[in-house]
Amino acid sequence: MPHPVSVPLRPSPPGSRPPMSGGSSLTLSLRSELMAVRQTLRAVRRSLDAMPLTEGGAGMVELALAEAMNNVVIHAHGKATGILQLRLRQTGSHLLVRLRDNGRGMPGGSPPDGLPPLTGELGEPPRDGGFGWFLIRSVTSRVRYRRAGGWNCLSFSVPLILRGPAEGPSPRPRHERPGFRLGVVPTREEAGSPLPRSWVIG
Amino acid sequence: MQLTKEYEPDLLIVTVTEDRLDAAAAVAFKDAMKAATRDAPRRVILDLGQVTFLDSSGLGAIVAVMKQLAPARQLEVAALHPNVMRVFRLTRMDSVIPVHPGRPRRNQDLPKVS
Repeated sequence: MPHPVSVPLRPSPPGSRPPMSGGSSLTLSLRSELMAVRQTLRAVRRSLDAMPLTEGGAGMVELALAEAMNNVVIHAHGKATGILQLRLRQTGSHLLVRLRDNGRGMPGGSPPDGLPPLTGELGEPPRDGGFGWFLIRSVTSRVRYRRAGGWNCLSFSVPLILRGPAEGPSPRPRHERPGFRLGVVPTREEAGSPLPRSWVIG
Repeated sequence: MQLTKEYEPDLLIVTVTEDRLDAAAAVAFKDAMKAATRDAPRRVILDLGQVTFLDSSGLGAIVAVMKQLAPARQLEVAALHPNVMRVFRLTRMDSVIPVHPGRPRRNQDLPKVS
């Protein structure tokens, strides 16, 4: 089943948007395939692991991103080939997630509320699918969706739960914490070698 | 999907030897579990100790396996990573599928589940 997927990972070009206070952004494009979603999540996870987040905090971000992107692959694109664009931006204590795709629009023009697997009926067996949106809404806030020009645009925010002093290295000033430079590409000088034209996940 | 099986006198321990049980793995997991539990005794314990990520598709696959085994056989899960436990807890599936904190070991008595 696994097959080679080359996913261009394009860090935001320097100066593409105004500098954000205490944060930065990461922009990724991927093909509408479940394996590409998995590889993208691994790459995002590597960026998150460089931030001073609790394991649970990083896990919630990964879960929300997984559910949102898998929904697009399975429901918006189905068997058709499509493109997903993911942008992560840190805004204070939250990670603002924006996901765009050129697949079908959401039925009814809005994201579902999401139902848990257990219906609440006594003795009723749990449902074995369709609760991705229940999980997204459980770990995110400010869910927004709109359709424009043949693109779906979904955004939500996930809390960034930082490690306490007991759970990690002693806190350093914010600008010195490597994690707060989410997905930042080392400069040519820092890297000591020419920057790659694009990053390949995997 | 890589699974290993260990038989104990009255139970089968199936271990997932991959780190993600996600949408990309869900169908293969269901198929592999169906094959692995064809001759299973009454209790089937799914050791998820190596799984660090579970999404709704992965959980849905576990629920489907549980329903497939019932009523003659019961699915239980063991050694859940905190990220995996969160998904069980948020969906309240920890109230439906018995959860064992530790990894089951050979010749070790597992808690009885009523």
